[in-house]
This record gives sequence, structure tokens and C-alpha cells, in this order.
Amino acid sequence: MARSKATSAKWAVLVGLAGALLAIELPQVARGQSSQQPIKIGLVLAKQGPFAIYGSTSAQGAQFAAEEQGMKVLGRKVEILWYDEANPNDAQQNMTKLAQQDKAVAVVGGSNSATALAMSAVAKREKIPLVLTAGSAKELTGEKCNRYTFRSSYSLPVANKALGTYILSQGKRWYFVVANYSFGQDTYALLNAFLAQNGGTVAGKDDIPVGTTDFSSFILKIRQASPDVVVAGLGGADYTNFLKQFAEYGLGSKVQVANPFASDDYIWAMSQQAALGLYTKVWHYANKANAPRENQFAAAWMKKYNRPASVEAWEGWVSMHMLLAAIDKAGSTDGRSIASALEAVKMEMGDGKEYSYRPWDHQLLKQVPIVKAHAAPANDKWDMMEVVANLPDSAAMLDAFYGNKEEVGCKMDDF
Amino acid sequence: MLETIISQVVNGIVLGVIYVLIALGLSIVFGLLGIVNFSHGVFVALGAHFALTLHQQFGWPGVVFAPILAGIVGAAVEAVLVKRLYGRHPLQTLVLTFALAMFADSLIRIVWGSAGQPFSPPEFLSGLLVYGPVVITRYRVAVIVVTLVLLLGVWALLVKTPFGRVLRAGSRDPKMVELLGINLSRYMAGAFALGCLLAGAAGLLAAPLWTVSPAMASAAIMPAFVIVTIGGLGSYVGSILAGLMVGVTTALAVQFAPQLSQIAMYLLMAVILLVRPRGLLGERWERFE
Repeated sequence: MARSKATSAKWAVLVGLAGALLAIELPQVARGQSSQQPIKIGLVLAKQGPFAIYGSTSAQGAQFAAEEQGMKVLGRKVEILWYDEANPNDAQQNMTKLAQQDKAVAVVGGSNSATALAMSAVAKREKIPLVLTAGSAKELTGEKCNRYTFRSSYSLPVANKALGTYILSQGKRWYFVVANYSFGQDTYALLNAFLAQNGGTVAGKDDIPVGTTDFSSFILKIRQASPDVVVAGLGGADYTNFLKQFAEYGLGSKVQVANPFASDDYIWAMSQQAALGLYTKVWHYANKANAPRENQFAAAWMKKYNRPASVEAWEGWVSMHMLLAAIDKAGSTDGRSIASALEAVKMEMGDGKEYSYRPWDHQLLKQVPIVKAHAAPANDKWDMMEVVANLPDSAAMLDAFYGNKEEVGCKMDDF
Repeated sequence: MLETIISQVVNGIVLGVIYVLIALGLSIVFGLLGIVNFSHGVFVALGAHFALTLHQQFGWPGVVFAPILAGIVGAAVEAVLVKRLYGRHPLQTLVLTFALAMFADSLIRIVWGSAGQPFSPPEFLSGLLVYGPVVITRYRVAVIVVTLVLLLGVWALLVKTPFGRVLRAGSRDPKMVELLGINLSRYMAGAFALGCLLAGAAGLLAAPLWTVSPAMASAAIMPAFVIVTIGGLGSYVGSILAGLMVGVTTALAVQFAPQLSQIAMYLLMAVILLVRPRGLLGERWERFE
């Protein structure tokens, strides 16, 4: 009996303590909803794996933009939480965690199509705005578009349209060497259709198994077919190996190679002999068509990191700026208000140029630079790309270039 | 059509020679020590990365030391780990060398990074040789010459020297060799180091053809195993024949069924194993049967 009395006394003390703690805690809970707490913005960008170099650069870009705004929005401090996106499942979990546990008001991220699609589904479910830095799958702003997802980079059809338009001016006989997975096959489908529409001919087509190291036999076939342009829908090490051997067989100076995918780091890693090819890029730091604000950004980045701002840096930078501008415009941290504001917000770049997301598919509209890779001069190891065209020719043609409602296929849902 | 086939067959032979070089070290380590060395590919990658660093530091003369460094690393690995596996069940050697491959792969990633790094052939070896339908790059010709020299050297070492005689005898009857008063373990360490040195040499020669990256290890190990299996475990001449067959099969697959080019060598292996279960020139090995 005595023992049980002592136990209940202990319980009483415990309950009392718990009550006291709650009493202390409660005001803090209330304060959490007040306007003095920082506004949390999530980043879901690769920290490891093959996309790590892109993810971390985009994260730096986003941070850079927030710092340009003094790490403040709506008069409150901005707090950035960066999580990984190792695979679609991981990206989805981290996005959910940001929405549910961290109470982030919006998310910037998505280094590739697979994770971007996974995250977009969470954005819709959790009603949290998501600004995608990359991810070129057509569906992101097409069939799987939703109110809360916005894209700052381009889609694969747009990239291919730009590339196709340019290389058509180089010749009408194309040889396709494309990876035997979606990127290569999509590239073939899009550019082959484009070529047919414009009266060109296919000189040959090879599906390349992933992990091919020696391309010499393929290159002999190309040599025999003597096309005007080789469309190489290859990624990663396969493409680097291909280019290296293409140059080895003396074709680098004779036949143009075109690839719809390029990242700066990719081209900077090329050996000087094999630095060749035509590429579409979402943005390029040394482009005469860049607006004053972009030039300032490129210069400031160079000063801070001692290397040029890559595509991914720009994607992170522009996505965060657009998001902060939208939060500002919305005047609140409510997901729905921010998403509506993102549809309307315009980012002034100077010289009358501005960026905005197209309201009906949430695609950012901008001219696509085509770059040509070349060996770096002795005095600047970064100077390995030259902008040869910006497509379409004028801003007035952008809307048509990015596709009409029927081509894009986005049927926007309700909030 | 005939010209196309000639062109591809010649190219396939060139490719096959590179494969032979990659498979040679694996074949030696298996043939003499009975070790199924799954870490062979890593030594190929290691040779390429050593070559990269040596080239940056000392220029072209320096790269000669890349295979030697790979051999030294091989000797160290033998002394610490592989030594304990002689005469054990082949499965144990497989597990250990597989773990070693993953461990060494991570080490390469930590030291040199995961990304591919450019490495070009020397200036005097760039350019093409064209004879009618046959197109070969100078560098590939150089690879063939170096491989032939290495093959001859290995043959002379194993057949013409006391070192080789002891090793060959020891691979079949280690007890008898030791009863004759020979310290076999030192010879076996030498054989393992030789296998790694040849892997390093393959890495060095492949570096200007492919991109130098840790992924070279996996790109090298599978063809090497396929070639050793087709040729017959432990048979050098078999490996050489098999390497050339794999090269030509792959090249012809590229010409006529490009989507099958990566699996052509496995199809070849399946067919050959159906006809000759021990491979082309495989002998009966009591301890593996």
C-alpha cells in the first residue's frame, strides 16, 4: 500500500510538471504562427549521386538569390532548408517532410525529370508551391501539370525544336546515334519528326546500349554514311566516350555533332581535342542576348566562386527570385496565394526584358541559346562555348515556340 | 557490302586486342593461382588514374610507371589479403575480391573524384591510317604493338625463365614444389603482382581511348570475364582467341544489329559454352570440378 501511495505521488508530481511545461510551451506554440518566425523555404536538390554537381550548384544559386534579397521577404527572415533527392522516392519523402513537419511555405528543386515528377505530385497533394529548377520531361508542364508546380528550365520538345531549327541550317542529312532509353528515344522521335516536316533525310540511326565504351564500329558506319550532322542523343560517360572517339577518327572537324542536352560542367570536363558539338542550353553566362541583371549576376557569381555561373546556378537563382517575388506579391505565406502570385509575377531583367511563367501551363518563357563547344584558349580555361544563336529570333515568337495548349496538353486543375 | 564487312572485321580485331590485354592479367591470376579476381577491373581503373596523375606531374615519360604502381598495389593487396585464400574454396576468393573491388572503387572516387577526366593520346600518335575500306587510328595501332610486346614478354617469362617454370609447376602441384625446397609463396605474390601490372597497363592504354573514370572498372571486368570464360579458364592462347572473337562479334553486331552490340559477347559465350562447356581451350581442373 505504502509503495502504491508513493507511486501515485510520483505520478502527481510528473503530471504537475508536465502541466507546467505545457503552460510554458503554449505561448511558444502560439508564437510559432506569428509573423516574427522566419519564413522557411525548402530546397530538394541532389547532394549525392550523379546529379550532385547540378543539385549543389542550383542550391548555391538559390542561396545567392535569397542573399541578394537580404535573406528577407515580407519583412521576415528567410530560412533555407536543403534536403537531398537521391531518387524519386527520396525526393517525395523529403518534399512531404518539408510540407508537413518543417512547415516550409514553398519548395525550389528538382535536378532531373524523375524526381521532379515525383515532387510535383506532392506539391499538388500538399498544396505547396514548387518551383522546378530542372527536369525536362514534357509532362511536368503538360499532361501532369498542376496549380502548384512551375518550371524555370525548358521542356525536351522545346530544347529539340531549338536545336533542330539551328542544325537544319547546317545541313539536311542527319545521322542519329541515340541511347536506348527514354532520353535518346525521345530525342530521336522529336528530331526525326522535325526533320521529316522540314524535308530532310535520315542518313542512319543506331540505338546505343547504355554503358558502351568503344564506339569505333559505330563511327565507321557514320563515316561511311557521311551525313551533314550527327544527332547524338547520348548522356553521361557514353557521350564523352563517343565524342572522344569521334575526334580520334578525325570526324570532329568534318561533321557537326548535335546533342539537345548540355551542362557547363559537362563541357568543361571535355578534353581539348574532343571539345566539339552543338548544344541547347537553358541559359549561358556569356551570351550577348543576356539582360543587364543577368550580366550582373554572372559577374557577381564569378567574383564569389571564381568560376562562371553555370546553367544550374542560373536555374536556382531565377527560381528563388521568382518565388520570393511571388511571396512578396501574395503578401502571405499561404500556399494557394503564393501559387496564384507565381502565375502573375514578372521578374524585371532590364532592357525591357522580363521573365514570367505562362499562366496556363506554368512554363517560364525565354529564348534558348544554342552553343558550340570549342577548345579553351590558353588564357581562359572556362571559355569553351560560344553562343551561335538564340531561338526563337524574337520575344514575340516565344509563346508559339513553347507550344500552344493543344501541343503542350496541360489541363490546369483547380486549387 | 564486302568493304563494310572488311572494315568492321579489322576494327573488331583492333578492339579485340584491347580486350585481350584487359583479360590477360585476369587469365594469369586465375591460371596460376586459382584466384577468381573480381577486383581485376579496379586495377585497370587504377592504372588509368595513376597514368592521369603521372602525366600531369611528369608528362609522357612518367606514365610508364602507372602499371608498375598498379603492380606494387597488387603486391601489397596480395600480402595482406589474397595470400590467405590460396587453396581455399573458389567462392571465398570471389567474395573477398568482390568486396575488394567495391572498396577500391570507393577509394578511387575519394582520391580522383567520380567524374570522367579527359586524357588524350600523345600528339605523335594522333591521326588516321586509311587503306581502302580499312580505317585505323595511329593510337590503336600503337596499342596493338604494345599488346603484342606484352604478350611475348609474358610468354617468355612463363615459359623461358625459372620463375615461370616454378609458377607453372606450383599451380598444379604446390606440395611437390615446396618439397623441392622452393618458397612458392614468393612466386605466387609475384604472379599476382604481374596480373595487376598487366591490368594497370591495360588501364594506361585504354585511358586515351575511353574517359578516365572509376566506371572503367566495371567496363573492363565484364568483357574480361567473358573472354576468359570463352577462351577456357587458365588458357592464355584461349584468351587471345576469345578476345579477338569478342571484338569481331561486337563490331559485326554494331554493323548489323546495333541494339545487340552490348550483349553480342554474352550470346557468343552462351553458344560456345553449349558446344564446349570448358571454353575453347579449357582443360580439366581437378580442384574446380
